[in-house]
Amino acid sequence: MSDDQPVPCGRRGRIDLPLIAWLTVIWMLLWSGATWGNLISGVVVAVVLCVLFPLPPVELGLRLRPLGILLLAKYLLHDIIAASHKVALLAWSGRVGPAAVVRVPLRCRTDLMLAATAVAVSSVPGGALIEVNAVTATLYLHVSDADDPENVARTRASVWRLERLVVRAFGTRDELERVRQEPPSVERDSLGDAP
Amino acid sequence: MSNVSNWSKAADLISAILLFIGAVNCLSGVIGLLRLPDVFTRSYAATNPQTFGMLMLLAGVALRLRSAFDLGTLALVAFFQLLTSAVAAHLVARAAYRTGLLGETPLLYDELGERPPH
Amino acid sequence: MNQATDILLNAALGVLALAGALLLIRIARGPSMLDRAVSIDVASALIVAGIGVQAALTETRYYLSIMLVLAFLGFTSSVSIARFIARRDRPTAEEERAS
Repeated sequence: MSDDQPVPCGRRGRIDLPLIAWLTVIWMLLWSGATWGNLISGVVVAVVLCVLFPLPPVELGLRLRPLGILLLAKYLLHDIIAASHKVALLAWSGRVGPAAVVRVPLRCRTDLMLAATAVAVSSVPGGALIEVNAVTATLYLHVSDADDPENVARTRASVWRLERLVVRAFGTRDELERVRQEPPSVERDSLGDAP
Repeated sequence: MSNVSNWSKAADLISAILLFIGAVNCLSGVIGLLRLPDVFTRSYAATNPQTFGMLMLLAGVALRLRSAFDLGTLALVAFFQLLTSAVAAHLVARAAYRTGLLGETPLLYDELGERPPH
Repeated sequence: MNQATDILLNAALGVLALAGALLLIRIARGPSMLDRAVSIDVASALIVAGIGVQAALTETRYYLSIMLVLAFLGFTSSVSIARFIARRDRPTAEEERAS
């Protein structure tokens, strides 16, 4: 962002092995052949790319937990199937109830968890993610049929569940601790007709 | 011998059914895109062919080709399709909200507008 | 059995072609540019789907890399439309802190 800040010389200049492995895998899949020639040329291209275009060092705080990733994939698939059925019915009928923009405060704080949760939420059909506030870790969703408070509550609950699953798949120990707490209460005090 | 070919025929049939379901799902997404009234609800419908329909189709192709390497490629296609369509959907929804394309029916309430984010 | 597979796959191609044709109506009519951006996104998904069905019909694996590239890059058009449309951008928190 600003140039005068000293760059923490962590990974810069050094070879980032996971990145090179990932690029090589994609290279081999693109050439659709698991041959030695593809492997070697892929490694060469990946190393050249990493040396010529070094990425700024980012402390991601990414952990990969295989069991958590499997659980995330399972529940995401489950949500997608359930929601796509509903959205298909909505599409054929063409009638939607009144919509609202709903605030969902999250418990996790790091950018990576926030981004991953946002991606998971927006890949489930039947809700549009309008705004992500990284400072307060809040998502703003466009929800249809908002005249039914239960529908809104269900949307919030599913976002919080996806958040917990995402953190269990990728989060650090600290984030896991946060996600164990109860989700923050959402009061609509600025509106007067709060239930 | 005939046992093996029966299995492969069954796998082909299941893959064709999956592909057909995926295609019908894509069609229902497009119908929603035509019939729903505003950008947000249309983008709900648009997520359908991009996620569920695409996953069904890719599963069908994987079942037809039946090789571990192609399964890897298809898994990567699914991963990037989900990732990129989520990013695109979010950016479109955000732009629509900020330019005030909220459709004819007004919002019931708006928790982003009534409480400034900072 | 083999015949049923062929019929289903060709029907899937037909359904996808119908979906694409209907999508063109939305792209032509679509009151705002953002409607078109959503439709273009769906169009790239439909193209990937069509190539997938073709790969299954001909049992050719060389279509898969085309699908991979389209899945990587299909979203760029709608993202650029969305960025171009959103002129009334509020500064983000980081820009505010920097200034």
